[in-house]
Amino acid sequence: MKAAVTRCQYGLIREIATTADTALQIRALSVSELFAAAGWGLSWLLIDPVIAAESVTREVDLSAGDLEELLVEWLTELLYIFDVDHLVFFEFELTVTEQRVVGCIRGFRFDPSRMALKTAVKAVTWHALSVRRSVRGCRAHILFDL
Amino acid sequence: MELQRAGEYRWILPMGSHPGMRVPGCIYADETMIPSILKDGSLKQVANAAGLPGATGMVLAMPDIHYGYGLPIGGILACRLTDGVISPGGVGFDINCGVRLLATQLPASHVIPVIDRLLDGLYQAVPAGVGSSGKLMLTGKEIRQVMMDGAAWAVRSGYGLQMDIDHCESNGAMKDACPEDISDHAVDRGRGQLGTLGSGNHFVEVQEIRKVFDANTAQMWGMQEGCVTVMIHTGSRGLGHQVCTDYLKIMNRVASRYGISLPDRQLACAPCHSPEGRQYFGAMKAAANFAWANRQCISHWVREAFCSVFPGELTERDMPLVYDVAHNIVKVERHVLDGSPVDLMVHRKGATRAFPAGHDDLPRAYRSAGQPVIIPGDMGTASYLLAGTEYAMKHTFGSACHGAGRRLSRKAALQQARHRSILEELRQKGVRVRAAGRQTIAEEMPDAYKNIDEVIHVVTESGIGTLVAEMKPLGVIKG
Repeated sequence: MKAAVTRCQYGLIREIATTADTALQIRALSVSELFAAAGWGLSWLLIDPVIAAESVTREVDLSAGDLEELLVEWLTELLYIFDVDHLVFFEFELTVTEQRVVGCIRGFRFDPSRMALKTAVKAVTWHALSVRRSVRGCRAHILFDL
Repeated sequence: MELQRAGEYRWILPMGSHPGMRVPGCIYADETMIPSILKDGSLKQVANAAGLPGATGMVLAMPDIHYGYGLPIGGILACRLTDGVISPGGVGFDINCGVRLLATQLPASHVIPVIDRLLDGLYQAVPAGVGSSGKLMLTGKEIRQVMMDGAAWAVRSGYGLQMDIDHCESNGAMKDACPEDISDHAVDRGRGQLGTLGSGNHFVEVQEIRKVFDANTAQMWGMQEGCVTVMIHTGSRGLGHQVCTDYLKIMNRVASRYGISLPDRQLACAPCHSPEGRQYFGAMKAAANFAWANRQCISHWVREAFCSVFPGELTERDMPLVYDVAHNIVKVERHVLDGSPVDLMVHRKGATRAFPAGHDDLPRAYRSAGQPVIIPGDMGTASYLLAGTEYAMKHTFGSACHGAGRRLSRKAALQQARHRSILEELRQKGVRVRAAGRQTIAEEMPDAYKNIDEVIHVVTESGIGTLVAEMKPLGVIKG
């Protein structure tokens, strides 16, 4: 089956479906953009991007032991906010270092009467997780539990 | 990787098939299932689990096996308590995802004419769908009590009957749960989700008992051919997902301190007796108890919906709980290894407990038969009720499969469903569906799953379970 590919302002995102779940392969020029693209990709799995009347802004400041753990932590936080506050984000201004992500994220409240939910994402897994940097940019692979 | 045939339905993944294996793997499947098992990567996941410290006997996989994360779906991993580990990845995110079955004496012929009204009532009564909020909004104190008492909390709060408790695995609550080891994030996610179905493969299904294979056992369990049953499939919702997330992070950090080399970070683990291992076990029990309370609340609303459609004909007592089983859980259980009883940490991920007749953990009234093993199929074919056996106790750590097992990814299912009306196809088969989204129906269509009859054939022919009854779906509520 052909993988779904999309491009956002932060990078390139490829969705690879497994038997029960789905993975994202993400490419971006920098680690900060990689994390922004991963956040965008998660939101894209949840719903189709829409223009919302009212935007919501949140500050984030998360830390972890290494870059892979930080990616899990970052996406888990976005999923938590979606689950509890029903907010979804498509704009990210992030500064990412090896163990910390700091920044501002903008999005909107998910309104089921106007927006269709595409995929129910339960959790962010560590299975086949990778974050790689090279002279050509950064890549990540992350599997979501559906 | 190559499998060695060890019987008509039994295949061994020998030690040495993959670096680091401490015990072999064993797959229950028929010949036709093997090519897809070899192809989908699930054997590597069996091999990875077989390399965890203290893994004992064999790492098993049932015929519904498919690729997941950490331990594959359909997998069973038993570890010695003395030098073994406990792994959140061996349980999965949806802690105590499970199924329960309610019986009725209502003939299907009586229910079919009003099935649409009944489904509308059920759909209104049971919150379903992504991010669905329940009718209950718990305080911090209440949610902690739910995590301690499980199904008993719900019954005490007016959601169900005392006799329901007797018919739940572990009486609907694992002892020594530790809500204090649950994060605030997990509590936040669970607060509004008690009594909600969720999405994906979770469902409430109205069924007709199409065939009874074992009349005595069926009678003991209140199952009568031609009558209606209700099956409920859901778990611990966001609370359980967060518990798994939290402890994967902790165990990924400490595994190396205990000298554990992880073949897959999703299999992060800690020794059973380590502080981290004990904390996860206590938190996992708390999440499992939340799941039992969740299914208990939903059962109550299902009964109310039935009673409102059949006023004067039915009370909630006329819809007894046959049984409730967990299929994502880890438990300390006593099994016999090399002739000696030993307590093991048994992880089941997409696998159902299947204890034999006479086992102390079975409800007193059911001890002359084996444990009821509830195996849902897909929404277009059939589900089965089996009884656990001595074979299962001796060879599969008292475990059976948990369902048909997915065959297609959700994306592939959506593609195959394009230009088709799955709703109409199901209607032609006599199955009505209510769902939060059209996409869910396509993702969960019958073609997305393995053939349940073939899966059950392997389970019964290999001796893991004996057939008691087959149920056909009449109507389904999906998230």
